[in-house]
Amino acid sequence: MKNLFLAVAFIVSLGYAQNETKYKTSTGSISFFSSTTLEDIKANNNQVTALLSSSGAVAVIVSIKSFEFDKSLMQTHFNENYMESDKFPKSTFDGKITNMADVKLNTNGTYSVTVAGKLTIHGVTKEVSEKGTVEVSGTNITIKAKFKVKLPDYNIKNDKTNNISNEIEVTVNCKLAKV
Amino acid sequence: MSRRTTYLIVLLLSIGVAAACLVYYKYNEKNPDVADLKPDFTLSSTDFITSFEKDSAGVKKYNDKVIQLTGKVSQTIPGDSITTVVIDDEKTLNISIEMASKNNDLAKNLKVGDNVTIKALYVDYIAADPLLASFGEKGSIKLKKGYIVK
Repeated sequence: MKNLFLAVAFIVSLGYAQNETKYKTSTGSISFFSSTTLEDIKANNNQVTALLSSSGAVAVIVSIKSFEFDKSLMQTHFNENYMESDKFPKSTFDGKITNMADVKLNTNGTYSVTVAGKLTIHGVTKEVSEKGTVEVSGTNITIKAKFKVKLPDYNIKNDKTNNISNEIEVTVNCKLAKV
Repeated sequence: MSRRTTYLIVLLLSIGVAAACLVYYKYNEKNPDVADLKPDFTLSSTDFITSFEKDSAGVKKYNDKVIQLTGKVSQTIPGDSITTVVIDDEKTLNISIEMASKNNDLAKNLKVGDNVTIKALYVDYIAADPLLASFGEKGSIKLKKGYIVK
């Protein structure tokens, strides 16, 4: 009887998983901004892979070398001295929208969400929880968030605090399409 | 002040100005335009993908190199100012090339099935994994600043 119950539970969960709607993009955008009294530094990355399921699971994969700076020297320093992108080529986020019940994926609108999960930068993984929005427009979903990352939390050395802030503002804007 | 001292001061000032100009130039230097760079590797999209399938560790030779690829367009993803071109070859990996904004008008006009040669800067390789596969997403080889050669 117990085995029968487990078998039924497995089949039901399998059916549920198969009914999940999935959304993805490989051209999402992430930018970051550092501001000090001496200078402002900004970089953009338009090659972000982002995945979302109707159950609220979120995954984001960021290639560090895809960040584009206005100045060549800044980009070189970012990759070689700060992010060590040959050693740590990717940043990832693996988490979940904790209030997915509030998001109506079949009703256009903008929904406030909280995303919690594991953020890995520079080889260091931290549990984070950030606010953001999910915009539903037909079969497209746009995930937006703005949050701060403290460089020491991720063992990123910053010897030039006059030029580069120890707290970087990260902006996420990923438009996902239904799979 | 002797003439020799004057020459010395002028010489030191000249060196100082030249050094300041060099530092200013290096600090403000823009990223190079891939259109002006010669390719380090020229190969077909099939051979490029195969090299990753055979030896994912050995592909470090592509790091920061300009790659010229010929293959068939499987998808174009138009953005506000940048179009991404995907070359697929029905393999386990695809090649995703973010085109240079200067080349956006040409890139937007590419159609699925077009044979195209693109020169771009190698960025990264995201291996196929169960998470990506569960979303119907293949592993991907990423390039940026692409220019259509022909």
